[in-house]
Amino acid sequence: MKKKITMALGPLVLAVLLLLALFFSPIDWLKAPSQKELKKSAPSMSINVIKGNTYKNSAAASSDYLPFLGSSELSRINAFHPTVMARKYHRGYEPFLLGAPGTQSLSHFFMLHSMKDELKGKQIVFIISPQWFVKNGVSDQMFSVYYSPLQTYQWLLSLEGKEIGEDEQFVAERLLSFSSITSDTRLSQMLGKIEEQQKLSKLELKNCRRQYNLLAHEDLIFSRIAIQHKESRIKKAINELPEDYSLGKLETLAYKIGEQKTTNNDFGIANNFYSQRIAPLKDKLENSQTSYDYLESPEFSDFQLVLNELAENNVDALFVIPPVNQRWSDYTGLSREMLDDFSEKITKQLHSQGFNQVADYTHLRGEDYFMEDTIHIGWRGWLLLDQDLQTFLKDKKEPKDKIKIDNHYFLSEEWQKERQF
Amino acid sequence: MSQWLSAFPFLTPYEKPFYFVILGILLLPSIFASLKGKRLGGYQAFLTLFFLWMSFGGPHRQQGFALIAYVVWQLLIAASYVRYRQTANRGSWFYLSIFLSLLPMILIKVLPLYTETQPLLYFLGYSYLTFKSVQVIMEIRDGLIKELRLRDYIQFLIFFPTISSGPIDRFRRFTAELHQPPSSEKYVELLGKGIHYIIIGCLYKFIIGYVLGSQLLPIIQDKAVNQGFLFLGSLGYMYTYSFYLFFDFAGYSLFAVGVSYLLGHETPINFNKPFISANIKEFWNRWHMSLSFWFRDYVYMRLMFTLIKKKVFKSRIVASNVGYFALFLIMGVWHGLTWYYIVYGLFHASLICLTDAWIRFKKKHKEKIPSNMATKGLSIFLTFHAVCFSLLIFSGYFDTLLKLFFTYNI
Amino acid sequence: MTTKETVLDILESITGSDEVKEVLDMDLYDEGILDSLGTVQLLVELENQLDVTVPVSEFDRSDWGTPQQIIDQVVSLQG
Repeated sequence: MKKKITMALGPLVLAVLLLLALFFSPIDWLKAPSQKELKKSAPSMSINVIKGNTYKNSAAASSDYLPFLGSSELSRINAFHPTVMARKYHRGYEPFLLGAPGTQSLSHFFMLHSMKDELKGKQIVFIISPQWFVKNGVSDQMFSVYYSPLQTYQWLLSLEGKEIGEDEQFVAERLLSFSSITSDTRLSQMLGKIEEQQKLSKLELKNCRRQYNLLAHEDLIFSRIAIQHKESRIKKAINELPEDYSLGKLETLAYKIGEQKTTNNDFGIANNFYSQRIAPLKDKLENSQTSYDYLESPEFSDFQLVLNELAENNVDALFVIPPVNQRWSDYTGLSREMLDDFSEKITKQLHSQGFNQVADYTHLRGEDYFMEDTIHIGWRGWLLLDQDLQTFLKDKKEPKDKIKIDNHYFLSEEWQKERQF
Repeated sequence: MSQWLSAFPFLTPYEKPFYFVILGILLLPSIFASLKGKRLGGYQAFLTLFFLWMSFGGPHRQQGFALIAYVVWQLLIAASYVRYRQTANRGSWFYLSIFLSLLPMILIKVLPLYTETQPLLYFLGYSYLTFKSVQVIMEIRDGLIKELRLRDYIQFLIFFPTISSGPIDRFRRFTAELHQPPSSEKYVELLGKGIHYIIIGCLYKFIIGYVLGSQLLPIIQDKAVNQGFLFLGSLGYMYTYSFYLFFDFAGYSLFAVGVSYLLGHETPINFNKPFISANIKEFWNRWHMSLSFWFRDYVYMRLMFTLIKKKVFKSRIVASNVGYFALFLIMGVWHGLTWYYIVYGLFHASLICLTDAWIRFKKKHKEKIPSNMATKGLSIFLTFHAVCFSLLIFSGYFDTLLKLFFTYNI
Repeated sequence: MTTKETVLDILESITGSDEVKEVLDMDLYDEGILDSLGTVQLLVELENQLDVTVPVSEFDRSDWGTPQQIIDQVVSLQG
């Protein structure tokens, strides 16, 4: 009988030892990404780049990259896209695109926090989508797609020894409303403590560190696979641009390309977007957005977390507020007045705290070929951003003195629901 | 005390490898007793309470209260019905009892459609407990359970190794074991198998399932949805998700069965190489077996019995197909009130009806249809792909795709 | 007609195979001769022709798997 038991227990011991060896050995053969790999990852918008630290933090540490935080508009590569313009006219920076369809302020907060040491005192571009600011903020489904356990544990570890502030309490409370968090009992237990302003115990921090190390190992392995090559699309777009930079020529070209690419509809929407995404449902979309409202949303407070992170690390940001294609919004019944109010509300949140670099394009909604489709910046839009960006980069501000963060107000439900501003 | 409490590692069943460390230590006294052919009833009750507290206390205490309320509710129904059934057997009381037994589950599923929050009645595993409760009512109706010892019934309901996601055990099987522990010879065999299952489970769930689900799936979805590889990416997602789901759930089931064995209970297995099935019927005899057998025995066969006996349909084929659609529709709704679970159910019902038609056709034309290695291989290939496609529907992938394409970005 | 003959006639008419009368220890489920639908038909016919009531949930495939087992079960339920 004893032999039988040993036979049964033997594999168990062996399995445990193997597991420990696999997960906790130092992985030395995996080094930081090469310059070439880094450049390839910059316009990729790959999910493993966004959720991981390996690539984006190396890029943030180098002075060759300019982080662009945003969402789906970043994927609209045409001749005037920031990546294309920067490469063609040797701007001295390569845009590092941090965002994808469905990333919202909460993901951006974690991305920023996870590379705060590398980003200190530098500049970034932040494109705010009005479409994020819906009633419940980021959906559970989308949050779970971009949820990064690595960056979450990193954030928990950064709380060691600190008094828990209102912003941290808010982060914990928000996280606990998502199922991908609550399904992890130990994580929700720790977040529950932070929500109640209690510090994590030594044991808990030790657990966090172990978890973080494990996830960092995995990030090193998995962030390498399947990084998307956008090189051919970028090269093609570069070839469309004139050799020498001339604003006048570029303006004419942007108009011309826009005109050529939007021939199958009256909305000024790019042909393939229109035929694939709009045409199949067109009649259903008429007046379908009359009740849309971007004025009451927890997203305002999620966005405040981003501002707080920027202020703490002395990061100088250019905020961009894109418009909604007017011909399209008139068709779907999306209220222009509401969009104007949104621009006013978010601008108030920015200005009142000293963030004055705002490129608000809300009122350019009627400009031809400014948008590539319904809500994504297009040919002339990217070109205008390029000009604003050059101004922003030239006179780098020292924001530290002017910034006055008011978390108490902007993290409150009162502000989330405020309609008088 | 409160300091110690706040450091207590609350975990849902098998959530982290650490769960097994605690399990391994606390199970020892019970294992030694079982090796002598005894069952430490009191100690096993303590284990149950301890591990339930670990999963339903602390951050989940709300669920703990809901679980207690649920058990009390089911006890009241079963106790009342068994007393009634000793003297009478009216259909109306049976259906009322079934309805009341299902009521918590119905409320948990329906209420969130109106309130957008999780109802207070919710607890992890409620739908699996519902299978157990309904089963008992049905067997009382059939006269197979004549007396209900409440202690047995409670132990059956809250048996901790299977509480969160099955396998779904049978009441009569479980209680027989409760009163007749395995012999010491038999237990040595169970112990070995149990440990083996747990190790394979670790490999399945914590390693293969984790890499597929947490690392590869998001990357493949990103390729398909955001990076322009819609067809190839979706195909990759389909295969990866199917294997992820198998390894994750089969791994979990191995844990549940393995831990049950260590406690001297032969909980039925849940998976038996499902991807080598040669048709959909065989697939359901190999995939989530305790669930499909439950549906076969308590829904499909009962319904068929009534339909055939009362001659509701002239054709037995029609009756059988109606039965399949009823079964899979209920299974779909049971998974959740979203369109893709229901489509998943209807898809499987259609597949089974087609399979039946094909089997009838084959019987009639036996000589003309070849049967060899190649045809067998082809049927496994086809079944595998039909199953993977159904799991792609089940995963909610199409829902995400539709939302991304037609809602989020317009 | 004896119980045995009746049971075997029922089995033959449901399965459409005369093998069931010859090989009494053949596993009907493993051989794919009997499935859920066939089982239900069997139970209905047993009730109609022999007045033996077998609850669906009583039916355990390991005790009712071969023609001989079915005959034995029915005989014991009659007795």
